Amino acid sequence: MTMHARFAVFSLVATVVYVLAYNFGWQAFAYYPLLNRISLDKLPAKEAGPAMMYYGWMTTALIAGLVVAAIVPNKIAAKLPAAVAWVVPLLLVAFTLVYEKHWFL
Amino acid sequence: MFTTLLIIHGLLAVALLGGITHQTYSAFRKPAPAKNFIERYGAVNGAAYTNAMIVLYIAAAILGDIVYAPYRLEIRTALEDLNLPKANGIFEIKEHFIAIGLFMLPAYWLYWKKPLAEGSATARKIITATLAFFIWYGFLVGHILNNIKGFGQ
Repeated sequence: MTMHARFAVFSLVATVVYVLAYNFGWQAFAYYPLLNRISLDKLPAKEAGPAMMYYGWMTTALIAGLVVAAIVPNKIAAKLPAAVAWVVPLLLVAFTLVYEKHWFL
Repeated sequence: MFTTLLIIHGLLAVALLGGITHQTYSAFRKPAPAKNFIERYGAVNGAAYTNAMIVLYIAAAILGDIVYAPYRLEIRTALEDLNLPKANGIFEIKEHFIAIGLFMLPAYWLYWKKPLAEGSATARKIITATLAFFIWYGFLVGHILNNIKGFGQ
């Protein structure tokens, strides 16, 4: 269980960082489907077409989750209450609905 | 090609939907002899579903990510032209839910790992129900958007 407790740490960190990433624009990169190109810099929309940040947000969250899960001491990981694993995602769902409400107003 | 991938994505989602709904119902059901169809529906070994659900979720998510790029160019642009911000909004929520669900899978696996820990029963139930909600939401939104405008229409 001790080693496996890192799984819960990964989930916690990656879900939170994903939401922070789309909220604050922390994408690791942007993907330009019209050019089929990944770019670390923002390209002009006129030539590059629409930018997709989704893959970049996912990558940011994945890296953050893996790094924290790898370095967190086993003792701390094992102490993570099980409730955190479901309370945090529910809060993130609520945040997402509030964040995206502008589409419906 | 993208239509084919979208159909496979949808078929994986159907399998995932069936499995996760079964597992969620079983997680909330109190152990007792199953007497009728509804009770038998929930009287399954929930833990046995876990690995299959994870594989199906990841496979469906990967296919969804592949068709997302042409969706961004073809469908979303059309929805903007048709002045349908709500349709784009429900998709934005879908992408976030599916990503959050994807990152929840390690915790989901942990709390369904045998032997099932008595102290994590609530986490097991709510994580599974949350994933089921994400999958149902994603499935329905995918259908609605495909009805508004599918690939190649």
